[in-house]
Amino acid sequence: MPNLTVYDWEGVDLVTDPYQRSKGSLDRAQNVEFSRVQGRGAIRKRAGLSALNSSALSTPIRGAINVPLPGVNQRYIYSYSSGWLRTPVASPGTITTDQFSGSGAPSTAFSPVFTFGSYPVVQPQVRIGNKLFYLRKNNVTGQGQGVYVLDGTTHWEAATVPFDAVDFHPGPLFLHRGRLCAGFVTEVGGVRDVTYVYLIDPVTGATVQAGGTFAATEAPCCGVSYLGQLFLGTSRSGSTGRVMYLRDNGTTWTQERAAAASHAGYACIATYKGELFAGTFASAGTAAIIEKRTAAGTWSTSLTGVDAANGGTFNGMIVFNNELYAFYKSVAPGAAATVHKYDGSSWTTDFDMGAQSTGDVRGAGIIGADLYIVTNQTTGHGIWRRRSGSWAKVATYSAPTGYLYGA
Amino acid sequence: MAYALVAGGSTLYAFYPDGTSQTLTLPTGYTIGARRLRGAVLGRDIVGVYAPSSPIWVDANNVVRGLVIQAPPLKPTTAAGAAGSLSGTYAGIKYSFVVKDPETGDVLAESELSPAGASVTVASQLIALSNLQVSSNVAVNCRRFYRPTTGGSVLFEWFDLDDNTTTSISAEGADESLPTTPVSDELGSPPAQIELIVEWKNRLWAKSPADPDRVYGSAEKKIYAWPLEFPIGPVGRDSYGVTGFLPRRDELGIGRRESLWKLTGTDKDDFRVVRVAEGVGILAPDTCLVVRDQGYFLGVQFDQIGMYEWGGEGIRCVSDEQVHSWFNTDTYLNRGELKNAFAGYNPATDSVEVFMAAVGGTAINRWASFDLKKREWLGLHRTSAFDPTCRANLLDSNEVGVVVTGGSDGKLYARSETRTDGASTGIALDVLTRFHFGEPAAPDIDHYFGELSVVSKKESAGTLTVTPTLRTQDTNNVETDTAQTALSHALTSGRQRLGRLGVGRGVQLNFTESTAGQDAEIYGYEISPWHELGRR
Repeated sequence: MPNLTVYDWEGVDLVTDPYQRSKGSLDRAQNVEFSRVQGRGAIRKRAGLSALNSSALSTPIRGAINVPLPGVNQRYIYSYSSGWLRTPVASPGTITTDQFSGSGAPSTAFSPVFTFGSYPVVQPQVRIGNKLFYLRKNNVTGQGQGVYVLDGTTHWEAATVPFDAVDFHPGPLFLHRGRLCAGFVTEVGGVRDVTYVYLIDPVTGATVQAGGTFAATEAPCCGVSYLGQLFLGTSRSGSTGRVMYLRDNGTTWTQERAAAASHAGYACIATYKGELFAGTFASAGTAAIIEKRTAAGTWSTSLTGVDAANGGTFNGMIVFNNELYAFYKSVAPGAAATVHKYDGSSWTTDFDMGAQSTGDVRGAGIIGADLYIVTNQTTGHGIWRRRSGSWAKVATYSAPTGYLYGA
Repeated sequence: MAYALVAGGSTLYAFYPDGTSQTLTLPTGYTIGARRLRGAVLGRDIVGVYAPSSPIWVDANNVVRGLVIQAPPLKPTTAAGAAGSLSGTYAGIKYSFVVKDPETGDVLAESELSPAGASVTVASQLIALSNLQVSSNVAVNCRRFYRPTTGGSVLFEWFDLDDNTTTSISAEGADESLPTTPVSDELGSPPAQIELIVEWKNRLWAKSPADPDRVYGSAEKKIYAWPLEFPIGPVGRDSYGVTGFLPRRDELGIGRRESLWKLTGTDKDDFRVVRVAEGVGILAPDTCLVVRDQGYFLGVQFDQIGMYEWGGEGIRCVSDEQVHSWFNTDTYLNRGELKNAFAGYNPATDSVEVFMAAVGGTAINRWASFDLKKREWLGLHRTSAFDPTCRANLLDSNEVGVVVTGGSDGKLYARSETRTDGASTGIALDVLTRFHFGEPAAPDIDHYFGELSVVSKKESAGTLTVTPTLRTQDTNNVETDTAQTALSHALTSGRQRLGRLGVGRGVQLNFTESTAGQDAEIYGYEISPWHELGRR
């Protein structure tokens, strides 16, 4: 007896003459798929559609563009006195210690790059792409001092500057026309001696000295690229700080400005909206100030620190969200740091750590859309984040140095 | 992990495969409208168009900026300035608007150059620049100045003014301090409005409604510099212009409604436009996709609509031979809405899936799938959980592909093996076989159709309903299709005999099952025995 068997399923066929169509063709195949897992050749109810998000986005979904790239803000990293610490954005209070692979794993303590009244300037660092460049003092005679780079997984020495001294201090590090500019000062008998400034190719490590040395006892503390030239803020023993500049391919550093009396140095320098800003360290009896240079070359005082009696320092500046932020620290015992914000017309106090106990800012960085600072505080050193106009402490750790990095 | 840029309502999100999302802030004055979000990824930048009121780009930090940076409209006013160190005659000073990464200082975008400033002669002086324009694009945070060496005409990068407010400045810098690389010749603004965009050969290619018969191309790896443009087909032939892109490996397919073209070449010196076919073109731009270097699109040939495949062997319609009536009758789909269809590739089934509106409505609520290996169509599928609005292929946290369907309810849905849509909506399996008229087919005579048995994969539970329909002809030669009593096949059995079907010219079976979470896999069926009874 003949059987009619259909095991060779086909798809929908609405075109072929109904008497000519193959056995397995269909008039309708709603919500089925050809089985490809266990029963090749069979037809199976199609797979379901499960919502990825339990909370609906605004309706309707108008489109999605696949971005085959890692997300941002997966973690941020900062350093303390004997290593790098990592704390994830998702749970910023969780801190783990990372000993990154590669040469130069930080078993040697980081030296603060420069201190005023025991308070260091904000650690200079340069981000190029997803890498963080920073200076490290190598305390071994015979080994050059280094520019190191961290990529979030390993860190290595990107360049060795061609001078050798046990006692020295790394100074400013900034980007100028695609090259790193790094400053160092040697120390003899506890006194700043000779300044060296280098331009370093971040890819090849090729290093050339930028201009000549400074006068004895003058040290570079901060620097910035402005109007196509190199600008450094310095401090001088027994004198006041200066802002020096060097033209591209120039050979001689030239004084742009000398600070007023009792301002021993320029601890920070930044460009903002076409103007140059330089913050000073002032000794007791004088308030630290931030000076501003217009594009035409006119200098004026832009902001005055609150503590003239004890003196203090503006020890760091950073441009974030189109505004200039400056970090201030009074030298008075127990004084807390403050963060000031300039919008191009006026300064406001954006954050006062007084309520959080004494401390100062050691590092600053922008990760994603947020501003982070590393603080040294008696009640717990930490990382603070400025997001949507508010500051919040997102991590506490043991001891700060102040580099900040996000990956 | 990878993520998706998603437009929902009037909001832009970064959406992660784990279901979390981050609302992105649009630049001031930008909105997300009611149109579909289209975009492309180049390097670490994502360009979004059509849904945004103006094209946007999103960088690696999820900062959203306007893509279009118009060049400074006026030349800088030049004059000899205060005492300095520069001497010479400098003609043609220009500047551009630049967006720099505030964290790294990297240039993210740059406009075309301004008009050239007048010649200025300095003798140990600064060059004073005034009448500097401010960009209306709020992302601009720098003006970059270019000048030649004394007496020269080739421009070199001079200095950056890191703001968007200053209107005058003085500067110098010896000629030998200028970089040796002249200014790029690829600076050029993108179109102010972009309707279609695609990445191909490390460049972005776009169609603008302002000039629909042209294709605009960016510089290599630069989303902000757009030096290229090519006319596609006769200008003004219709109001649609370019209707889709097909980025195959070595050819960029560019469709119009009535023709298909391609762009070949590797760089700006050898790009050229070639006509591929006349008479057939792309109807629905969001159905364009490329799978294994074959382009697929919902196209139109004169008045006939179908799904087309474009590959090394040319163009062919892959729907005409099987499901022509889906796209060309008013029985199944709203043909007027087919131009708004969208499509995606489903790797799990190796199928191209096309989403369309059912007849009588405008909401997209049906889709068809074309199996690329079997060359067969299945459908029309539907879901009761939501109306699909878009498709994307994402990568999950393990970098495994996830096919995602956007919904009218603000959710994104991924393939799930649960055989349930949403939280608890059943999937209505509905398979209708052809009429069987014996073997070989003898529709002119009556047959006896014996016992039906269904063979399926054994499930832990569930019932498959099988409804036979017999076609009979009465003494007046009136043909009638009559549904018979439904039979129940226990999916737990694996194979089950279900009873005799009856007498008629032919018999057709309808398999249905719609329980949430219930799987059903049908291997086949048998009708045994069957006999020819003769002509009546």
